[in-house]
Amino acid sequence: MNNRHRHLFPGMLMLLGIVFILTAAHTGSATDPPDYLDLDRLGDRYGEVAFDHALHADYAACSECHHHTTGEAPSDPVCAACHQAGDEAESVSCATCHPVQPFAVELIEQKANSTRYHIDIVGLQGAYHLNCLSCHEAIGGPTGCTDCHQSQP
Amino acid sequence: MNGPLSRRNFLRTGLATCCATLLGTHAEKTAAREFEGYRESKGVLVDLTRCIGCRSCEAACNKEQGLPPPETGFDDSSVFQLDEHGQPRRPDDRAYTVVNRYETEFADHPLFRKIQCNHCLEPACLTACFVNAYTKTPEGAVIYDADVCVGCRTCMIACPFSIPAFKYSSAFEPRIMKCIFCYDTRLAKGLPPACVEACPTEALTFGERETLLRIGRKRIRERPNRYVDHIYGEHEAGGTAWLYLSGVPHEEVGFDMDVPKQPILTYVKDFLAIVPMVLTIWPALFAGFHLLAGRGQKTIDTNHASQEDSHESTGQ
Amino acid sequence: MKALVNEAPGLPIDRSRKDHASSWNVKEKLLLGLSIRDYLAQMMRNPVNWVLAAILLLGIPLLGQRYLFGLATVTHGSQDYPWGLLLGFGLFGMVPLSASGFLLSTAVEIFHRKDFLPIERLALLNGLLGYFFAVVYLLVDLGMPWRLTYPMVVSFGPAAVLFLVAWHVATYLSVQIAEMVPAFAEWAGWPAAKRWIKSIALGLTIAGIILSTLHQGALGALFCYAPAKIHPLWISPEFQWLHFFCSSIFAGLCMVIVVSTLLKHFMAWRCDDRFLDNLDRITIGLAKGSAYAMITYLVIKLVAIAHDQEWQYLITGWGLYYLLELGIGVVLPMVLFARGVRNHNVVILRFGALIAVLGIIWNRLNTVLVAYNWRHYQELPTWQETWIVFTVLAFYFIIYRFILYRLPVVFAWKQP
Repeated sequence: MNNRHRHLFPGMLMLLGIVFILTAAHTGSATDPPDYLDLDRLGDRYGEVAFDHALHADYAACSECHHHTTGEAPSDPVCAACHQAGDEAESVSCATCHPVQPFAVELIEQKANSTRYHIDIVGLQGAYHLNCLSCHEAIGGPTGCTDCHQSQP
Repeated sequence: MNGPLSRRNFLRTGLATCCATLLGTHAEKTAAREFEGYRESKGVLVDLTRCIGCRSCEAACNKEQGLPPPETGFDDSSVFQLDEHGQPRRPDDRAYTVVNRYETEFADHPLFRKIQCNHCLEPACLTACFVNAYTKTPEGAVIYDADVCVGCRTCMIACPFSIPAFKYSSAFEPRIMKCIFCYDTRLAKGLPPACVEACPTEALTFGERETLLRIGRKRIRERPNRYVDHIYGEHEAGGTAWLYLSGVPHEEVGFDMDVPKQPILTYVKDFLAIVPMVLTIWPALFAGFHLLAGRGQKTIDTNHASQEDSHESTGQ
Repeated sequence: MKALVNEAPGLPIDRSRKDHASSWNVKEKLLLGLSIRDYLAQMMRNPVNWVLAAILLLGIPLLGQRYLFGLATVTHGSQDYPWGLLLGFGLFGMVPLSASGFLLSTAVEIFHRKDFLPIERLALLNGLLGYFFAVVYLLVDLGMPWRLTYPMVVSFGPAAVLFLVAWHVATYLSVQIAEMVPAFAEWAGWPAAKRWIKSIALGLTIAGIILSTLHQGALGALFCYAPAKIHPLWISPEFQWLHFFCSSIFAGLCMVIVVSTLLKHFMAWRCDDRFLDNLDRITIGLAKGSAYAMITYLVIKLVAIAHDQEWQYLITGWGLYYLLELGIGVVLPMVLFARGVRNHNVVILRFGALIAVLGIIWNRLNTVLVAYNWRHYQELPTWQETWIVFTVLAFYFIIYRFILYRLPVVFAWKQP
């Protein structure tokens, strides 16, 4: 376990939580997507979100939310410039790439010294809201806070 | 409070400025280049295209800084109405940050903009303060020391963004109230300010200013239709730690585009430069006048007196 | 007072000795040689005092309110207008009107214009009191007035313009107190103090010129901190200090004309012949000086507009208001001065001086209040703040008069 991962320990714990929920919720084989996810790791002002994954899978292609990670070519032309082939990733979980603590000291240092292209990966909370809201706005889905979040804890 | 001490003091402070002026504008430019802010100093990139006007940042700020509770809740959207002077809300002694709503012809939906201290690289408040109550920390925050503040409010005059607010309501413990980048509780420990952490859409990105500029330019380059090609704060007021990307021209969402591109300090340098001149040249000059004017005094005196008399008689 | 002076021989007190046997004691000097009953009686009879009493009756409680319950209870407590009427009038208006001290001492001590000698002390007193009360206004307006000395002793911000203002005003106040010592020494009977000040008079005068140039200019330079907030016609970063300095010259001179006119009409009993007989001639001299300063000021104003390329603003509403300010506040008195000096018409000069004094106050208020935040909104001061301004002004008037009644300012102290 290298330095970065040790600092992301709380994040990893939560990831474990999601894996647990994932295994509990899924009904098909190990590679099938889950039907329900509880997005509950960021609850502060609002309660968790019970996410109907199966419902959303009916509306949108995997790549609309998962970019290239599921093996589909990404729908975003900016991503497609490099990830045309739809490079499948080991994990398709959002939190694998979108850090729970996007502004952790190490991440900021990394970004400052990085020559990598991806210096602008939003955090998990940002990723959820940006992705969900932009689509909901476009297709007329619900956009109110408590439309998705359970009422305040 | 005696003459010589003050004079020495002014001489000392003035001489540096004097040298800069003697070297001309070139020197001024290099002087400005010498200080581009602390390396690794932090900032926040505000992406207005992501802001949904939820006011979570206001709520988080209020809690973190222990500010008085708001008159109405943070979910009350009536605060977006203009106030009695036709002005949108501004940060004051009860709120270090406010979000305002703007309707523009450039977008079919309302736009939002968060206001707080921009934490200038060369802060006007700091340079205007005669008791040094302000400090620009290496982390990027502009913080304030209420213990030495006299309450002259020149910082409020000087701030090009009209951010510092005065607690006029207090008779015995008035003070300036302004965003301090959550310096003592968070920034000093490397943590992002409370508002950034609270933002659900990551409209606020915390990081090193240099990185944020790179991110900002990247976003503009990759989505030229989404953003106007300007990062507000990159050069405004000589550069600020808080930077703003917008999908509509910045002036449409309340940004003051008349804020000069150079630090406010440059505007008073002209005056500061004359200070040592006056201090050094005036004594000799006027002592000289005194001697010159006195030299022929005795011979003129008689003429003078008679002239005066005739003058007077015609005057009556 | 006038009547009393006419009745009683030996009054008003203008010498140390009452008669060859005895000297006036301090109590007698303070009461102008009257009995307490007579003194109070003449006080009560004076209608000016009724007006002052009316102002103070409400003003003192308002001041108390300000100190006990905060600035917000008497002013707008505006975040957009951090400087209001208190500073706009009290500091930025009073200081230029008090430039008289250094101007007249320069004329007399440096340029040996002994013809201005009869009015030098009045100019010095006017300067001292103006500065002193500018500080009083500051004490009302500062958030923490009890920390007034912080920039001198606790924490230094030497690169700030206000730091210069603070130090210069403080130092200059001391210089002006020293310059008034001779008058006080004569009255109190301390010839040594007077001799000592006389010996350093030249140094004091030159210190006065330096400090005045710098802080009159610095008050203008303060606005260079807000280059984007003030209407371009009222702010010119390169020339602002010159505008303020140059206008302070005629402001100070005109203030002396105004004050001396009041003395001539309402306090002639206190003035000696040297003062009264020379006053018209001196007024002409002062007006001439003012007119030169005014034309210089107008030229610098013009240069600033040309330099900043602001011609297009002149044809806007703001431009008209600006021209109105210059036209009424500077050009009109200048023309009056030109006519008055040519025709030796002192009445016109005195009228012109009054306009110029009001014009300067108008200019400073425009800079601080009207042209500030010009793109947003304007704010009228609250009636409480306005009343406090007049309250402090009433104190200024009372102390001014108190000193003029007693110290040899407009009369010469006679040697025994």
